[in-house]
Amino acid sequence: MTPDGSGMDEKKNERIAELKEHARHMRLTSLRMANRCGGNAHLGGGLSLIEALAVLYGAVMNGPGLPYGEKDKFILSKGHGVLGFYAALAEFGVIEESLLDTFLQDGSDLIAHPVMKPEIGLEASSGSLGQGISMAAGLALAAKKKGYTYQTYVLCGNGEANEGSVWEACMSAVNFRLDNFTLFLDNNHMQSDGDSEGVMNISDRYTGILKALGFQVIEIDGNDIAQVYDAFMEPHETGKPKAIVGNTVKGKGVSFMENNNDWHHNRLTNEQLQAALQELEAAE
Amino acid sequence: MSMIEISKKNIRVWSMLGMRRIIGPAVKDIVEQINDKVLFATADTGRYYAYDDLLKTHPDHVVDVGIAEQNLIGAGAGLQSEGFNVFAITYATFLTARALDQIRVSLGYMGLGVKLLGEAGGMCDGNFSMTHMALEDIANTRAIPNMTVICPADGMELVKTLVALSTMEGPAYMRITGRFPIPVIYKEDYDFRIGKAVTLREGRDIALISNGTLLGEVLKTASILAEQGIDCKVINLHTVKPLDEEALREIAGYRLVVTAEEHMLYGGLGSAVAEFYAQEKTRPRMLMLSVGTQYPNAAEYDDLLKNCGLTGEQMAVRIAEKLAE
Repeated sequence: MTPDGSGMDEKKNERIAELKEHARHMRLTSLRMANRCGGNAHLGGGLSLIEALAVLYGAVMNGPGLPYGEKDKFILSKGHGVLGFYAALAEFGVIEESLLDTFLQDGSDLIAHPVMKPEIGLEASSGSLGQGISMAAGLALAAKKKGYTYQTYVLCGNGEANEGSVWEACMSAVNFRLDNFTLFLDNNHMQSDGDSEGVMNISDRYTGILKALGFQVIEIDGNDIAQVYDAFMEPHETGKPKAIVGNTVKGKGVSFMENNNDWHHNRLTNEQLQAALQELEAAE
Repeated sequence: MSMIEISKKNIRVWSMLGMRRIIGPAVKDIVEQINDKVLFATADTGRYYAYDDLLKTHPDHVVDVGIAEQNLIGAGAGLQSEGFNVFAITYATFLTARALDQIRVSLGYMGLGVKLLGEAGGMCDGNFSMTHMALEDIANTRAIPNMTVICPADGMELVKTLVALSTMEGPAYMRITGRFPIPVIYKEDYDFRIGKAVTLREGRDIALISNGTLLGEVLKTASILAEQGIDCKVINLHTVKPLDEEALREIAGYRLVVTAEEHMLYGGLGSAVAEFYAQEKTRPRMLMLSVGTQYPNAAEYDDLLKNCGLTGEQMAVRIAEKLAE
């Protein structure tokens, strides 16, 4: 490292570049899974969260092999975000890449919403929206009671945040002073019926709401790896849960999917897959 | 004094306290004597359960999420998955109706063994109106996979149930009924096992099946009918799920099997018994006494039992009419 600290920047820049490459590869993986399964998959919401999970699994969460009480936990509360989630588990070696070939096949562990199986990194079952945040708060509270050092991370969607139970859980995270709890709000400003601004118009207010509740809040471009990295690395304020409001793009990375709700849940044909892959490979 | 000790003195104390005020002190004793992993988790109803002493002596064993039943189940599930045994305690209907989806996902689907303790099962808080009566709770919880459903008859059975739940792994719902003083069904110790019905009175003509504090009325019914020469067996089916099929087979040849419950007609104890007999070769004629198919108007508990035809005297009349048909 040079005396002015630029060596540290250089190292971080390298790390960011690596994570960007991981994110790009996760997108390719997600698209191939969506195509291979032969049916509809939640593409839009699966692609908006890629950077968050690339950074979480690639740089933030501690590794396997640690004692139970030290190993960080992640819950995908917006259960339909599995394309990016399963891709992250394979990208960072939590599951075998070959397991992805079973996505949406009968009897697979990798179905349309996560099914709890901690040994392959699935800490909770989700699918019914607004419940994973409560479970995560319970895990973080258990860690406090037991003296465990693990961190609990939970990812929630902006449409999901329409559910009242999300706010029950957030309230309790503040009340129980869960400074071992981080909520990433994947704020892609869309939901099934269209723009969130047109369905339930609060998507631009999450920072204010969460701050008012008592969260430490960081609002960022949630598809910008460097910003996501910095946000996760920002230390917890003592006694406060942390929220990262990541403004993201639904269908991020594939021009014909971006901000297009036809891709909320759709089938990806071979031709469409090729077009998407070409675009992502050109972006290298 | 231990609240979970079986003694003559406690039998009197339990009856005077009523079900809910036994629970706080009993959980304290369970934490100290049986399993220190038990947590008292509530949605702002701790005081109803006399949790003050528990809170003072074991604050780490109390989790109050505020008036947020969905989060009670969800956060309780997180705690349960980390090795605690969570007693999630509040009004039965707010637990089992309002937070039913959380129960489905966290308890039924993930299999996390949270114990649901629901107060005001049936009509005992009826002056607050149907909003505070749990009248579909048995139907809702019984339909959830792997869920054990228990409705204790009196203070002793409540304590025995709490003790059993404190070391049990899977999910369960305990329905708490009645006002204080509660009728004493058990005047001495007895063998309580989850899933095993208890015969409270032997008889050969007809069988009366019930649970919870309503058994006090049902025993009166049996005495009245006995005076009329009708010999009644009374069964405490404290566990609605899993059902004690053996006990039901034993009475399949009776002239009439009567079920009595503080629940809507559909989906409760009577339905569970009828579902069982429907697929049996030998099945008895049944009379299903319940709250009916409409919500009762708000009233004091004793009046509500009358309005629904569930007093001991009324049930005797209804049964005699059925036999005369």
